[in-house]
Amino acid sequence: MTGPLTGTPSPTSGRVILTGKASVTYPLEFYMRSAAGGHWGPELKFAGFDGIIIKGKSSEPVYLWIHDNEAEILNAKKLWSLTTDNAQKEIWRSHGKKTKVMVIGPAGKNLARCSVILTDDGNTFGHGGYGAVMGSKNLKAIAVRGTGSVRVAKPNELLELVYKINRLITRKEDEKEPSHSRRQSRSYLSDKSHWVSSLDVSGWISPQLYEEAKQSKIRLGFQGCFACPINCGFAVQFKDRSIPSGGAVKCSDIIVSTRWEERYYGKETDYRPFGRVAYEYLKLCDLLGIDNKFARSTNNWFGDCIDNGILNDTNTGLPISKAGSREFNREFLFKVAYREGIGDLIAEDAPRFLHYLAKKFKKEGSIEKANKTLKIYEKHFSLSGKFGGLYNLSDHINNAFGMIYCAVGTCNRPGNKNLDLVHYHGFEKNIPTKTIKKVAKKLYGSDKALDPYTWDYKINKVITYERHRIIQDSLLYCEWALPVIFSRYTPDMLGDVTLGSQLYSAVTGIDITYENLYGPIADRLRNLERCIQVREGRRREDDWYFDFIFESNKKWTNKDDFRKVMDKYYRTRGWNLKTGIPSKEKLEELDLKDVLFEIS
Amino acid sequence: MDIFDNFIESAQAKWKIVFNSDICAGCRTCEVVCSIYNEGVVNPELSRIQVVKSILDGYISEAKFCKQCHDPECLAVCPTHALYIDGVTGARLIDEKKCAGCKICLEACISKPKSIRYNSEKKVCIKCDLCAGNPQCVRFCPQGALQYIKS
Repeated sequence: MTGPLTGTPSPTSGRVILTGKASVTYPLEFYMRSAAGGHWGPELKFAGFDGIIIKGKSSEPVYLWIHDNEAEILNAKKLWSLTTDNAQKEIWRSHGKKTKVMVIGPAGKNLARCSVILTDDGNTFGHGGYGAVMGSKNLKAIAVRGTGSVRVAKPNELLELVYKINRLITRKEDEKEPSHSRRQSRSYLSDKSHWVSSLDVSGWISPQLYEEAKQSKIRLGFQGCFACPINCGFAVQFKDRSIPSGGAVKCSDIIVSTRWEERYYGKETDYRPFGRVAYEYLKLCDLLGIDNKFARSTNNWFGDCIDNGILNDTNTGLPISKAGSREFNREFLFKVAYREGIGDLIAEDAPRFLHYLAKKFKKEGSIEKANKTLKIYEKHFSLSGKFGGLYNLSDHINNAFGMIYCAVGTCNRPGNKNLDLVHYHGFEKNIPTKTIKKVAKKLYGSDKALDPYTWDYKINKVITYERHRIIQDSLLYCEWALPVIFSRYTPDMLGDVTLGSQLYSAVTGIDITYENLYGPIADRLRNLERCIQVREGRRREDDWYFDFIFESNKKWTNKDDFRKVMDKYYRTRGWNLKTGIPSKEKLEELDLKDVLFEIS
Repeated sequence: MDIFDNFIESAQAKWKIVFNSDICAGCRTCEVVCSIYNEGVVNPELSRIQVVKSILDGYISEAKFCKQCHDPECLAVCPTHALYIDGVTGARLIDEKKCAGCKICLEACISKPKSIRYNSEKKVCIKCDLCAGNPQCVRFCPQGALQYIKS
């Protein structure tokens, strides 16, 4: 589905969103969302469509071909078994090089739950395992080519607004080199284990690769999504063809811990972040259509299984003792994509695989091993109810805000860096603490909202986040761009949090205030999403964590405190305290009366 | 002074846009901005600057646009004299009122892809006119891959 901003000059308007029942979630396959950047979304608009609904299943492998007001279902026999890049090439051969493609790889075809849908320039629908969903429908790809126009209500006003916004985010005339112009759009510059901006900083690309680029042995290229002022992606062309070179590397490729290779190659090696081994892993994931979040992190479920003796060479048939090596990566990824040997079980993704292992150990009498395995699941997937199995949660729930935000999160929306204030800006943009506290007070009611280990003002922060995230997913822009809370280029270093509503008004001609859009309208969407999951069976007890999580956070909180905070959240939201279901009054207030019947 | 000297001088390009492929990220902001500024709608097919990408082998983006040739073929072949040269910028322009939409200029363009495009709604040809000296693609390019310089 596209949004009103898709295909307009609005910054980061290349995004497109997908919703549906996910395959990876556990134990319930529940309604979730996944978004992708790139250039696919606008092309659908140029072809004259706002979105696509796919129902049912095809009896034969097919692909969808959409072009200028027409849509066809075509035979995909030639494409069905191809890797993503070869499938794209075939589609370009048939429909022209400007066709935008979203495609699944062998992993999706083989219904691996850890599979993704790839768009042709390297952006993916990464969350939820929707590759398997497409695979289960025998749908290989959706190709689109549009030569039509997107009309906006106020073109001149929109252009000037976009110019203004882009200059809050980046100013090329102030930079000596192009790489610098993207530095200020980034966060976490100084922590090397996180995502950094410039290509010449060794935390981003290994020193050896950078040397090779200088000698023209490889070519480094920047990648940007449609109408984006930040252009965070990059790609490496290996001229000797030693490593597949297709598509871009994006933020999600880097956010996974970059210490997987260290396991085998040691700390100070060339094989660190975006050295050859890491890059090959990411590219193989792309070609096979596997989620790169799935097993790469050292500090992840798979690493923990190895470190706790749950998995070894013998019981997996994989070179576990060489985990982190190029050899391991290749064998692992291919076995998973083609469901060979243990790959068949691992392709069910962590939640199901870990529970299968625990059952097996129990049957064999290895009770301790079974418990260890379940503990690994609890540690990494956190939510104790039916609506769990989401990746990345464990990174976010070691603080007060995160615990609330992730417990009630209806869908897997990671945090928002811009709204995080302290971590994003204080560090990197050298925003004075005084300014940060002032903004925190304005946005959240008090700068106490910034204390990670107290419950004060956290509900305000959670609700603000939820409103911004859901409007982001609705208008469709990227969290790296909006909201612009701070800027390096204004005298008071402040941005303008209302820009999203301004863009919406300029594009549609409909006057809307920030308070309304990021308030009742956002709440309406939020409650609708909640109701979808309520219909699937979600209740208050699903908004809870394993004991493990409370154990880990016991220094600053406990179950009783958290229960009280959750009470307050439900009250603030207007949801029933016992069931967690939005109340009749709330749904009526938000013009969702028709939904009331469905969930009663 | 030869009477032909004046013709040659006016035929020389004065200003032009230049492009650095190493910096370009292929975001196509230039295409979006050009089409909305000049044609009033967002449509990369109606953009006078075109980004050609090779994305499965590394990620290489090339912006293609009118070179404002010194001795333009398009101007020479236009049957209705719709093509002319702007006195200030030296841009080679199409007067849309005079343009018959015959596309002879488009065929004659020596660039690949063609720097002239056909607007099928308005039934005229369109080409880069340097936005009267303030090229919007240069203005909006977030990376500074496009520059506006004197020839």
